[in-house]
Amino acid sequence: MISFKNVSFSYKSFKKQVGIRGTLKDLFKREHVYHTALENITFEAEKGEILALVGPNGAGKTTLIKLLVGLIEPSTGNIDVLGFNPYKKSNKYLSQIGLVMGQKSQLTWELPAIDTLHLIKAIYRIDSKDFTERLNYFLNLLNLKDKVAVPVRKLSLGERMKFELIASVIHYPKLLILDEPTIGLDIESQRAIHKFLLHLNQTEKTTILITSHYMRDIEALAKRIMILINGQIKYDGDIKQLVNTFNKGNTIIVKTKSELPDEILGYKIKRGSEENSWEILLQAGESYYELLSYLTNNFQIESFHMKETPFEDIIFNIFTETKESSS
Amino acid sequence: MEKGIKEIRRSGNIMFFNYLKIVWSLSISQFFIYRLTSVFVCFFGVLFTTIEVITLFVLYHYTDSINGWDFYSFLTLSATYTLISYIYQFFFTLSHEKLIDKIVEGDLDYDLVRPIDSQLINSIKQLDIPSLINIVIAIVLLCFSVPHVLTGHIFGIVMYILFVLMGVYFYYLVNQFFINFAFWIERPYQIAAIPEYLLDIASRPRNVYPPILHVLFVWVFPILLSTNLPAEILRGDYSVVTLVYYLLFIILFSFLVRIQWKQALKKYQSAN
Amino acid sequence: MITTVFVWRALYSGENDIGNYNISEMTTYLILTSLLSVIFSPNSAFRLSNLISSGKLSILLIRPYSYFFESFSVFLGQKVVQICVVFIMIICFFLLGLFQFSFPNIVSILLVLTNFILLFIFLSVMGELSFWLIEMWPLRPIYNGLLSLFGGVMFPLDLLPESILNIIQFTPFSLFGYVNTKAVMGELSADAMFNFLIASMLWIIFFQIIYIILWKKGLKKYEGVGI
Repeated sequence: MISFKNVSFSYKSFKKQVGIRGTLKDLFKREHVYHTALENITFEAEKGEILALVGPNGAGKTTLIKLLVGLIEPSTGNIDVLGFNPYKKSNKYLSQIGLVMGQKSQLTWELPAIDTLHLIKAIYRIDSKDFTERLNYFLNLLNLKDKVAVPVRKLSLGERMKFELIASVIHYPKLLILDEPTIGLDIESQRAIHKFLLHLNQTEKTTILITSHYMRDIEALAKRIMILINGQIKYDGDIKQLVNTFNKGNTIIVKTKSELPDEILGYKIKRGSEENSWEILLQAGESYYELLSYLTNNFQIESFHMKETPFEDIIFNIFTETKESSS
Repeated sequence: MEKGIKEIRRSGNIMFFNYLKIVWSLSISQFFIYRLTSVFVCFFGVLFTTIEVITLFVLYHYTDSINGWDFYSFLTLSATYTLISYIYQFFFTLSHEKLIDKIVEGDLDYDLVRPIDSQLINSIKQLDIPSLINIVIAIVLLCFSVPHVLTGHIFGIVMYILFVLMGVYFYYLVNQFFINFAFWIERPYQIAAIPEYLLDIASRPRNVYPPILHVLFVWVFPILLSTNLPAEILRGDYSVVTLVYYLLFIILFSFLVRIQWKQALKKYQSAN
Repeated sequence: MITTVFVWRALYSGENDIGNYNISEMTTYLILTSLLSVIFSPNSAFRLSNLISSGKLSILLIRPYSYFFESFSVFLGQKVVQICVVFIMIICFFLLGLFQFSFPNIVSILLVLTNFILLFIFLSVMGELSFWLIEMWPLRPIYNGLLSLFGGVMFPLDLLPESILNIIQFTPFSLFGYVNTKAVMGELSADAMFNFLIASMLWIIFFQIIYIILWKKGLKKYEGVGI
């Protein structure tokens, strides 16, 4: 369904020189700077996949999305989505994709959402009966029945985002692209949207591509994650594997009144943040049976539990590691 | 609920007609929301027409004819100008204003991923209902002045209507032409105000202007013809050459504006 | 301006004198009025509405100076450029030999200055309407329309019958357009100038009072609802 082959995108921008003199100089000769937003991107996605696109700001996520919807043309490489070249922007192609941009709205501000939906119905030529059924179905799913006649400017952010979502899927798109859809939303709305997207994916096999800075979104929705850093794909694969590969290790928190030494069986032991707690760093996947036996035999252990490195930390580590290695 | 994906059933034209129907009903809703603004728009429409008429009265207090145009001819011309201006305003002005803002703010993305032509969808998004009142006023003025002017028959009236619509289309192109510059210029609002001045020049009989301006605005850029030609048609006083030239110009200009739009989109999409 | 001037000149092909203007006096009048209307344009009235809708007004309100004087400085800054341009254009037209007028004296300059201050206060009050109006843009054509008609941009006001003229000539719009032009052309009698001066000052006081009242009310609405 989606196929990127050796896709790169660069653009030219002008360096503005400082001060009045600089502005005058610019009139005659401008310094060009070439930015490479994406470099050698190659990946494929199947129908019905949910793919999370993650990366620090400026990594190229929005550029990739713009390539997908045909807003920009790749400098090199081939893109094929649903058998189309997106940049050609054929109406047939555009009728099959849906787009949600978290920071921009497609709803008419002063009118109720239903009016924008009617406009979309006309533009995408949705059959009236289908439209009404599908709309009611979505309204029920997202709990928006009594909000449909409220002007958009009076809706809460969560309600508005839900309507943006409906507006982007009302025409049965085969591919749905979400660019930071949960920005600024409360937890309830976030979860409602997750639920909705998963349901859509399961029932209609809609392929979903989502970018987000909230790891909660990624964990809830995607099995596959693609990490973009500085315009390159640093990782593309299963999320669980990612966790296992990049997990620096887990921490055991031990609670005991006894004083623990600095080191036991080769493990370094630190004081924990709470009273009477201690932290021991383990390698990922490592068995800690020996350590535990030793601890319980030699000390009065009150409790222990495993603290897994949060997904967010793992991603953070990947971002910073790559930054360090490239600088 | 699971239904298969429906295929496109209707042709593009019907789709656009449906789209227009919905835009109409949305425009009515928006008209009622912005009641006060709408009242103002009506008001200044009426105001301008009044000013025109008062000016005419003052002018013709001192003379019977200005370069061959008597009071009723001039009034016809004025009303034609008003008619063209407000028909354009009814269909396009709100969308065009929104378009400039969107270009400046880089907010065209959603419009560019719709399965409908981007220029089209940005030209008609909301109809300006208050303009209808001014259109009615212009028609009333015409009913008053045309009987004194009309030489010829029903054919003249049909031609007149056709050329008024041509004038509207031409004025639309002029506006679109200047708005498209917003893609390249940082502060496009001044430029976007030019069409209005141009049409204002066209509100007067073209033979009032000195030869240089006459050549400029009839042959180089025939804005004067957009209003004068329909009025001349009603008087039975037009030249076929001018007519044909006008039509040809509009056709060429359409292509120019279209190419300009396509180029503009390329620029918009290549910047980040 | 172009349209008006040419139409009137076409009119003169038949006549010699219209009202008490000959062709060059009429041309002078029309050009001057149009040029002056550039300076007396309503642009500054819309600044406040931008500040309100963007929320930047809140930032300005916290500053340790009055918004009124700040807006006056901004106003002056914008006008200086316009005044220079208009001045240059007047000189150009004068050199082209299109003009025919006697030079203004101190009193007429004073009159124009007073009208200028009136403009600022009038536009400030107009700007305050943005506390209540969702959309301000219709006010621009309304202002321009009223200026056209009552300001004598389309034709000199003294072509109108005396009964009408007596009422209209003391409106702010007339002061902005017709009166200014006549003053600059040196065609106002001392009596007339005195009357207009008084009228202008009365309007200034009137609008100043309205400004203060509306400002208080407007701020309450702005801060209460957070428009």
